[in-house]
Amino acid sequence: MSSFERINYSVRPGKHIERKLIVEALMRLGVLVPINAYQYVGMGSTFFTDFRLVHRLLGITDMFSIEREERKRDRFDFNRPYECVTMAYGESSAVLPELDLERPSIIWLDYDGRLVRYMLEDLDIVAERAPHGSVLLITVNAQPGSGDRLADLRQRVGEENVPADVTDSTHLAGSKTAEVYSTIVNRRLRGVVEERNNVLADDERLEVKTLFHFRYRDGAPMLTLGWLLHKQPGDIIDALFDGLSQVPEDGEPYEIEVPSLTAKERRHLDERLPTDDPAEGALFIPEDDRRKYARVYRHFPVYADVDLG
Amino acid sequence: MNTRRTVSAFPTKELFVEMLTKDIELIPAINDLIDNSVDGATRLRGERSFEGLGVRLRVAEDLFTILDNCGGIAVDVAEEYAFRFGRPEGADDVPHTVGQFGVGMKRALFKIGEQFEVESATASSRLLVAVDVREWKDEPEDWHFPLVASEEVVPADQVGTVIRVRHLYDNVRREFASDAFIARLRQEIEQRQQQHMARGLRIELNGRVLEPMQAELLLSEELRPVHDSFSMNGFGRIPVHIQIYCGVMRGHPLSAGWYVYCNRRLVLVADKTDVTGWGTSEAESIPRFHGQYGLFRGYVFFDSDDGTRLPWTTTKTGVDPESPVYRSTRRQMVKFMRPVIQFLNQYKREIDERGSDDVGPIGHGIEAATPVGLEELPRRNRFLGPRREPVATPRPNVGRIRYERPRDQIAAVQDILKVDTYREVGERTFDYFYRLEVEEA
Repeated sequence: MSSFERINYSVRPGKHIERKLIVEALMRLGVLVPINAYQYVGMGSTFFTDFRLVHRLLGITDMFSIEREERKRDRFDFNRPYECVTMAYGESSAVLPELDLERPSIIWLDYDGRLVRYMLEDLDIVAERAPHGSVLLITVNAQPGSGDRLADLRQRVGEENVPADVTDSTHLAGSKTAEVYSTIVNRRLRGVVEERNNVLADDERLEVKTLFHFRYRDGAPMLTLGWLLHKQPGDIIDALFDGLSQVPEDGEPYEIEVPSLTAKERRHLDERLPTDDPAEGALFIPEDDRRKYARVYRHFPVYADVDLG
Repeated sequence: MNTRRTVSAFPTKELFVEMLTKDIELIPAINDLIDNSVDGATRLRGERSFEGLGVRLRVAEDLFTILDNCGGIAVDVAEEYAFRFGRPEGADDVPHTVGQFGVGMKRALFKIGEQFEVESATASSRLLVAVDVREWKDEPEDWHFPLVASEEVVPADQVGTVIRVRHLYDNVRREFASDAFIARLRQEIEQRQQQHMARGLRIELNGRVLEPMQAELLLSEELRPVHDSFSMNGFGRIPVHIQIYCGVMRGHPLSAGWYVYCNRRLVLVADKTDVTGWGTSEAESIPRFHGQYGLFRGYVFFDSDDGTRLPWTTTKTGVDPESPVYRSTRRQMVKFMRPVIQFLNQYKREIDERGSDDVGPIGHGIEAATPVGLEELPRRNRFLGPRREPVATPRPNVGRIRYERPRDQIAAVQDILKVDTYREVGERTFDYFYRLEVEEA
């Protein structure tokens, strides 16, 4: 069984919040490039949750979902949420070069697994062509694993891609795996864009802004990195995302933590938000949880049993 | 009183030789000699193949030789035309020959050294012209070359021409001793003589057989190669101009890969290594080169007025992969290569699916496309090729069994059998039953 059959994707609160934080930021893109010029490329599985959000909130109509499980295509075709979502069956490394990547794109390489070499190559494929205004995202499982982590990492991504200062499995313990992945992926992306810039005219050159650096765990620890490729001066771009705490100024990780709260507790805290710590009348809720909630309250998932007939 | 006298207007040999040789460079001069051999081949074969004919060059500090088996020079041709300067009336006009001006051989010989001999045999004659240019210059009135000739039957394997030049001039000696010169000479010959080599003419330089350089890619409505062009300037320095061509071409798999030129000098030939973007294993998005990519051809030209900016090694026979100019260009090469690799993967799949008898749309597309020289390719930043069509193969004397079962049951069986298609599930389960219950019962 593949992961979409094991995990019901719609009940992953951390991922849910991350998705909404991402789309909220993407709404600012319309200032750079008209939103309807964009295409969205993702890996929707059977739930297509990101596709729904992107279509509803951003109005993008050219959407492609990459799916490797071609033999189950009937099920995926059945679950497409809108007519404008096109399935693209095959491995991502085979599908991506077939797409028209020369147009402004939002591409979310949402992999289920740990970082593997082909993911870096997929990133190459999109970073080689994506134009000004494009947003590239990659999500991987940052589980540190056990045993000889270093040997395992070398084998998965290729020795030449492991940073020189990672010399021991302890450098990959706990959250350090996510840090190391982040270094590997960032270097790769920026390297490709730099090489690309050398062949572009001065006024065509692209800068890379780190838009997203999310960490959360719904089960396994996950890592999402996202970048905007742009031609504008950096301070104009920074201003574009002003006020969005999820877009880090310095690329520092944004931890999404989902406290366990009852609906009544959430209502109470909401009434005191926004603030860093909505403590009033809620001291029985641990401070940690209050602060965590304060960071994500606007996007907090609400699960309800609704009889839809 | 005025007396009538005459002034000799005869040119001096010194001046003459100088004027004759000053306009030609060494490499074109050598190519002129090869052109003479090619003319001989054309006289023998006309438009037909040159298979079996060849030219062998030996280029060294102390001796230059060129040897061919392209029919030889007849005595009357030698006496009246071949060693004259200029082409007299009546010299035979063989169509499609290269030597239109009758100057090539003499000019080349005078350019290279001070002592030359031309020894030639046709089927019915032999001749020898041996000249010591220093001595020749000392006889200002005598513009003849001594010729020794005989009429005799010559065995077929001795028909041909050998030219030897000794006492090479200092500048020539220096060039002939240089590896870079030899490499450039090789490349120029390969390019300039490419058509003739493609017709079967074998050219050898210092023991090495040359490969014809066919810089062509297949082009048609549905098969379109890449042609991209850009410059790298970098902080106001002298720019490097780069052109990349990439696509497919019918031909020998050994010729597949990337050809990299710096200022028109070929530095990498048919490269299939990771220097030009090929992978080192099967698992990468551009895998290690293997046979199914035999149709791939890529050409990269680096041109710059500042040779130090070009990404070649100090010996100018390879590429420096660390050079920033090269690294960025390689990134583009990889980008353009990907769809061609995909296309060739699809082609292989088409062949596997259909067998050798049934040609699919990709096979037809490749057959129907025409080779086009690089200079004629339109600009295009993305390879396009015909798509594979999946195929259903009906077979005679068989019946089709159709039935339905719950999908999760089918999936469970698929997992056990490790097959991808429902058809295989049906076939394998049928075979399983047949073997156990019918054959082994």
